[in-house]
Amino acid sequence: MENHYLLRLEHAAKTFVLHGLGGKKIMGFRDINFTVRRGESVGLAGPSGSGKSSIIKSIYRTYLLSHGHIWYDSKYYDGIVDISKIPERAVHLIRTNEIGYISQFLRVIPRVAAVEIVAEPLIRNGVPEVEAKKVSSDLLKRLLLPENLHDAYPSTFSGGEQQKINIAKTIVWRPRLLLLDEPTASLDTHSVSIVMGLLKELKEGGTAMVGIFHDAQIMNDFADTVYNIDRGFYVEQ
Amino acid sequence: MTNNIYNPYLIREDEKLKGLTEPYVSIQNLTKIFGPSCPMCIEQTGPEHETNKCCTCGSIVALRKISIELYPNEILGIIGESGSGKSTLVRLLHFDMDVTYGEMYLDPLILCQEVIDHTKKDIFTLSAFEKRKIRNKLIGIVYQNPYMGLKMDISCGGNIAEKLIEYGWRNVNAIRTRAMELLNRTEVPIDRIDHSPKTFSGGMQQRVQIAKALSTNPKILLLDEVTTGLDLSVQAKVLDLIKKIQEKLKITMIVVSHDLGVIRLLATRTVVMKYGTIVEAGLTDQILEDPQHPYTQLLVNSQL
Ligand SMILES: Nc1ncnc2c1ncn2[C@@H]1O[C@H](COP(=O)(O)OP(=O)(O)OP(=O)(O)O)[C@@H](O)[C@H]1O
Ligand SMILES: Nc1ncnc2c1ncn2[C@@H]1O[C@H](COP(=O)(O)OP(=O)(O)O)[C@@H](O)[C@H]1O
Ligand SMILES: [Mg+2]
Ligand SMILES: [Mg+2]
Ligand SMILES: [Zn+2]
Repeated sequence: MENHYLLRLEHAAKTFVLHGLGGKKIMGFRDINFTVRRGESVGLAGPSGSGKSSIIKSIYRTYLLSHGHIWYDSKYYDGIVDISKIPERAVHLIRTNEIGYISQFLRVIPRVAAVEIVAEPLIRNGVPEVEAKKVSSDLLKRLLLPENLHDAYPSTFSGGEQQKINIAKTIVWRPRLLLLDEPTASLDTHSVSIVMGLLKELKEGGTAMVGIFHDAQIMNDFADTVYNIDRGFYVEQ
Repeated sequence: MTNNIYNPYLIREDEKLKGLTEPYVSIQNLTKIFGPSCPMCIEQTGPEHETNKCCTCGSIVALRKISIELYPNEILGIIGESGSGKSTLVRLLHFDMDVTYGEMYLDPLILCQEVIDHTKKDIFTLSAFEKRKIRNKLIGIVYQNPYMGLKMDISCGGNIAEKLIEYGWRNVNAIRTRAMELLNRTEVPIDRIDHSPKTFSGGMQQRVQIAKALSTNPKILLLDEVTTGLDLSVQAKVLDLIKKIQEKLKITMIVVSHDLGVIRLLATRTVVMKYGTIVEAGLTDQILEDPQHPYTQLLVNSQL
């Protein structure tokens, strides 16, 4: 049982069809196969436009797969599901309970304080408000977000500060599977090392990850296994 | 080969997944035809014909066999061009007019004591009295046009009181206290309680509508273009209010909006409508980032 994978892409392929352009087809990726075990960190590398982000978005079901399967061993559903095919409601429940996604940009309701944004997933899952805010505030402190910003609205924050909120609001609830698409791109070196430290702690706690990092050194530090993607194909290192 | 890696017997069947995600409200084949209607109405309308007007009898097919499921504590977004049937849908769910045909079922979970015996019954077939009872107990609405949701010749507090009285409240002091509490929650200045909503700004009128809709603790809230026509800072306040209400009160909502930004921030799932028909439905981020239907692609590409 321990050898069981958490995530497995099987002949996964994605083609975009642009109807406005006479049905033009754009290849996102094709025949992608890899597995991720519990607590494993997998990196996706490759040139810009090779399909890395599309793969991550397909795992999160932001993109619909054209072919193949994305098997995921769900705790909530107590069994393996094909994320690319189950009902949207089921995907939503898995997203709120198991799979987190951190992109490059923060998107939140205006006029909600930073600490409240981070605490929200905890409160939703039944953590008392005071405690959730304390945990969130501590996390933001670790990420070196100035304390006077904790109660401010992120719409006025700098790119890096917003990104810290973005990272915190997902890692705070310790997802079982964490998807990362260049989460550190707008952060300074010191902040990057703090984020990498937090990711390590998550990993030790059993979180599996699939991540894209531009910086080769960060990628090295992050990943147990790196898959190189080129023009939508998986290529051997 | 792949079978060695995973055990296919562990794979959850769709049936089992469904069992864990029962909808609160299930709407099937909902259809609304304005006009005499004829057997060709459905066939001759919809996106393929690029019209909602039946060319045989001239009726307007405002809704064409819509099926929607609503889940506990979720926000469902509805987008689509003007005239696609969004407001008609919302008003049918509030029993403001009769459906042409279609069914609506409620999960026992959502039904409270008085209406519990309507499980498994098509709600649209109940008597007007029973529908009113269900509406009073379960459903709140905020109309696109504040003049439809509020009486402008009585005070703002009076509008809320009216709804509470319809619900069965009798104690004048209790009613006033409740109205103040709601205006407080929706951030309408309490000292305006005795003024007519006619004298309020658009954003305030929408917030009074929200206060009125919330007064009877509905389980379902229908919001039709609540932020349209408001300036950006007022929009932000209303959005924040809706999100807070949803989180704190765990209300299931339908949010109709032209504004994809509003839908992105609020809705978990989104339905795209055109000429009375659902052309695409999916998780909101999927609809906005990987739209499948030509119409959705057009909509998204022209707005983002
Ligand atoms: N009472 C009515 N009698 C006749 N036709 C009606 C009536 N109400 C709505 N319609 C028609 O039904 C269609 C759908 O109208 P509806 O108000 O639901 O559109 P909508 O999607 O809400 O549009 P908008 O985005 O402009 O609010 C339109 O063609 C409209 O003219
Ligand atoms: N939503 C989309 N619609 C159409 N084409 C897309 C979309 N997302 C990505 N693509 C295309 O798919 C290919 C892979 O892109 P992407 O996954 O973003 O690459 P990477 O992250 O490796 O830079 C590119 O040709 C890109 O233009
Ligand atoms: Mg990318
Ligand atoms: Mg309308
Ligand atoms: Zn007809």
